[in-house]
Amino acid sequence: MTRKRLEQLYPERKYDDIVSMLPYLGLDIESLTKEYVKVEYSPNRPDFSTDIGIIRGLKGLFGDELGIKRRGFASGKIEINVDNSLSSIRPYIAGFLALGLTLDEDSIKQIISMQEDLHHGIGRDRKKVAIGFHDLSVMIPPISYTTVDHDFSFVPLNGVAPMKVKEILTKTEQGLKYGSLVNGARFPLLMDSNGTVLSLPPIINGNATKISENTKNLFVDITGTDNIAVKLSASIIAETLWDMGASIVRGTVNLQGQKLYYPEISLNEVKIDRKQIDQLLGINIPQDQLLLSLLKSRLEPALDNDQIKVNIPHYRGDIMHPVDLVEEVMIGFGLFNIKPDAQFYFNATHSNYRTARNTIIRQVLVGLGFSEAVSPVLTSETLLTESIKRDARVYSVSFSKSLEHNAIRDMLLPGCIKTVSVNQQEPAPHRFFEIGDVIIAGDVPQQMERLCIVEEGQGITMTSAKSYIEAINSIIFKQKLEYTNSERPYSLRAATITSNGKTVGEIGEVHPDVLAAFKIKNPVIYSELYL
Amino acid sequence: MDNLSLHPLEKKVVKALLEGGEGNIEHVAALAGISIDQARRATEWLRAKGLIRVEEKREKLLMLGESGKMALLYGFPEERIANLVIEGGSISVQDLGKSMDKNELKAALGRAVKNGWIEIKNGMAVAKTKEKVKIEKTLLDKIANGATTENQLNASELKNLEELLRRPGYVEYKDLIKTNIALEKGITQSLPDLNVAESTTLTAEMISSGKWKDTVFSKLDISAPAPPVFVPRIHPLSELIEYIKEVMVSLGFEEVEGQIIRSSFWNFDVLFTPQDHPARDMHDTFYVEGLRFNESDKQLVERVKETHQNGWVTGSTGWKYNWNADIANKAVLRTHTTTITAEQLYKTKKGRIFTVGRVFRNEKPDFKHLVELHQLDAVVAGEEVSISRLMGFLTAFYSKLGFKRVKFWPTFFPYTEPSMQSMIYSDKLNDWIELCGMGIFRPEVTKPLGLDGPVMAWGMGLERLAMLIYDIDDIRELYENRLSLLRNYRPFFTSL
Repeated sequence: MTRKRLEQLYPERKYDDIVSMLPYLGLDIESLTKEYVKVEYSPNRPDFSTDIGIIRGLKGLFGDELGIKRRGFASGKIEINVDNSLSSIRPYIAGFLALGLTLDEDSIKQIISMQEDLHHGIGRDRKKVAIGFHDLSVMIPPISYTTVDHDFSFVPLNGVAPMKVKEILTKTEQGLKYGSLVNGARFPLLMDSNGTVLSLPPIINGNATKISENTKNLFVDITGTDNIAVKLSASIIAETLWDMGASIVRGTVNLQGQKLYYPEISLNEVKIDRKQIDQLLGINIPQDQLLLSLLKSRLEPALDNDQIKVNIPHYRGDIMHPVDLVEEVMIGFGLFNIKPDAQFYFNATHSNYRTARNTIIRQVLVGLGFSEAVSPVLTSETLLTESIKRDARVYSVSFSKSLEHNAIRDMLLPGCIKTVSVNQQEPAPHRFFEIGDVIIAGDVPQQMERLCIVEEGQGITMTSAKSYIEAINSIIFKQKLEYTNSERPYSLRAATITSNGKTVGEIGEVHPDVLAAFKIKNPVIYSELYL
Repeated sequence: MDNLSLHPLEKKVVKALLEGGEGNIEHVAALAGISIDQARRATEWLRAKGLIRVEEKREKLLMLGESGKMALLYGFPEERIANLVIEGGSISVQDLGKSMDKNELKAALGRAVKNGWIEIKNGMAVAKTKEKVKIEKTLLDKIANGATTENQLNASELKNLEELLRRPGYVEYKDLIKTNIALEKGITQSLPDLNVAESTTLTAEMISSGKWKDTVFSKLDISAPAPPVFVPRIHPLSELIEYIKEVMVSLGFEEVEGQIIRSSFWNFDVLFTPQDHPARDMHDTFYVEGLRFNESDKQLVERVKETHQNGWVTGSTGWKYNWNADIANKAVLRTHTTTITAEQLYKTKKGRIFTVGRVFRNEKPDFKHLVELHQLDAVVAGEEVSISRLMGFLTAFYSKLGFKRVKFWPTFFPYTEPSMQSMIYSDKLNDWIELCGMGIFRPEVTKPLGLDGPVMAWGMGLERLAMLIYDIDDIRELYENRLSLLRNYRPFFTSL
């Protein structure tokens, strides 16, 4: 939002005061200069996708405008006839007129950014909702919402010559990006009574009705696959254009014999217990403060015995439950007016067993001269298998953006060998341990906690590895351990460790081929224990 | 003298006196190759044994005083004044007062007049000679150059000394005690072998045989560089996590743990995240290939489904779409640890519960982003739950971490309402930083889990805090395990 626009649209308040109020409206300030402030709004408030919408909220918080600005959206003769063929493709549409606008570069920018935000958010990348703005002056109503096949041609937005639908799908950026949303034999199309194409939703508009700074009167269409999202988008856009100075004329949609009018003008009513508000906020909020807080949040409250009856404008699609009103009270009342209450009672509790045990394991290993390593659970499949000459089934994840992180570790050793490898230039000693979860793939995932120790150095032998294991065992597990020679692809010599016939770990020397692959100079001994 | 046994230091001193003759303590120490302190101790012992005598001679030494040193450099005051006057022919006494102290000037003028160099008329000093005057300074010179006793002076110098001693600050006497250490006569025959063993290290053998007593240990060069020793330590993240767990336990929270691979149902649906929510997209969440779950609590599934579709009995409108069990059965790497605390609440229905665990997001790793992070998640149920109480817990939590200034803002999270975020002031960064997000679980979350009362929750990622505490600029360093970091990071409490 530029300072210039803010001062022009909301001259009653100083720029600095506006900026310091923004966070209390639930907006995150991303960057701030003397000339502009960049904010991030939460996805539940698409009505904050323009500076107009944000100012609507700010005026409430400052108390400059309270409640809902009642307005009559006129009902006019603009009709949209929906063809039955759309019912299985993109059935829903809303449309209305915004008359008497004075557009400039800045306001067009806001309209476009609102359109993009709604496409992306509520619209789920145009799947649920696609929006078009058209210059009414070149159109002759009524509008028909119909379907065409892929040989139909028209001049797409910013194009110079007519293109067939199938060309638009394969040759334009929008076609390639959104074509898959309507990939049947028939394609949705909006045109006026003269055959002028408004749009091929949700892909691209027609060039004929393109808007410019000279456009005074708009026709807005909202099409989609989700009627709730379509209606909500229509309300947000109408509200914004109305605040920009347009008068709104509701459109009539003729859908399978029904007449539907958009944007909706009825208010939703939600009731909430006053007690619940006090309870959830942890304060006793006086009655008039409560009413004022809701008015500041641009809602319309009325007392109803122990309840508050709240009228909610249709553009506030985020209020699904009475608790949503509690947050509205909190915002209107000002979070800075609620004081932290730390009078919670004492609750005697103790450390979890694993946490306490792992603290001791760390102490023992640090005492033995080992540095602790922490490696990712989601690592590379190559590290877990090929790089240590191993063939194992591990869980992998779909569509990872990084080859370094595409599989879930089923043992700690590969990560520990990597740790030895990255520290080749560091002065000795090279002793590491890691405590962490691994997941063994099977019918159901088996998550286990393990301890792995590795030591690299000249003259290191299996005997010292065994000494470490015995030392740890004597302090922590106190079990009788048995060692049985066994083979591992990544080991020169290795043994399985069992206790009472149950496998509890393994011990070995890392195979020289693996050492060479990891550019490790000296022998490495390891042990991986199940905790 | 039979059975004379000498300490190695004593042996060294005796040897030095035999070879180098008597002298003072410095002389003896230098010849013996030991420190002055060691020489002092050894002479003390030897004197007690009657092997040496220590003679102390008191001497009066001549030294130049402050005025004497000045005179040697710039001339005597009467000399300086006279030459000033001679240079100018005549100067007022008042002007001369600018060049020296009033009393000194008076004495100097007196001497200059007495020496016939100038006269005083009507407040003016007038030269009586044209040649500059000079007083011989042979005596001062001689004293300055080390003639420190009277018997080093000739008759005229002694006379001169007598005059100068009358003027304060020119020549002074200083008393000095001179020690002379010498062997007692006739002891040479009774001395033992004076050769001494030297060693740099004390050995076990020396200790057990007592041989160390006959050994002189070479002097330690403690300023010489010692080879570095590397300290094994726990990982900085472990240090931070252990501390945070301790804080949570001290606030009355019990730690729970859970599975890393979760069903979408527990990761998302239970937390009222609609099935078409962008966070559930493969581009944001990791789906585990070839794995599906089937929630066994069919009643819970039904309640969650109804809540999503129409709000069930929660009082909500719900998301108004057709909920699909197939989508809920997909396996994901948990995207938050709230999935763990929520499941615990489902079992216990109340308590102060926390967990610290890894969470996963499908991101491209860079200096600010990782695919895997640690997250703290805490919930409170079954006692007073409110926004102001939540702020109270957070204030206590931050305070235990060393952050005293806290700010709260409203914000949005899909499964809490109201929701807040918080910032703490870092003295180190001199700025506010965002840490915990929090709120009160929506009834759409708690009711299907069988919880009647409200539940408050907060959570935070730990890596950002770790970066702040341990001065790490690139978040990836936390998982690279380079010894340069593991050995050298500054402990938590010295780095806030």
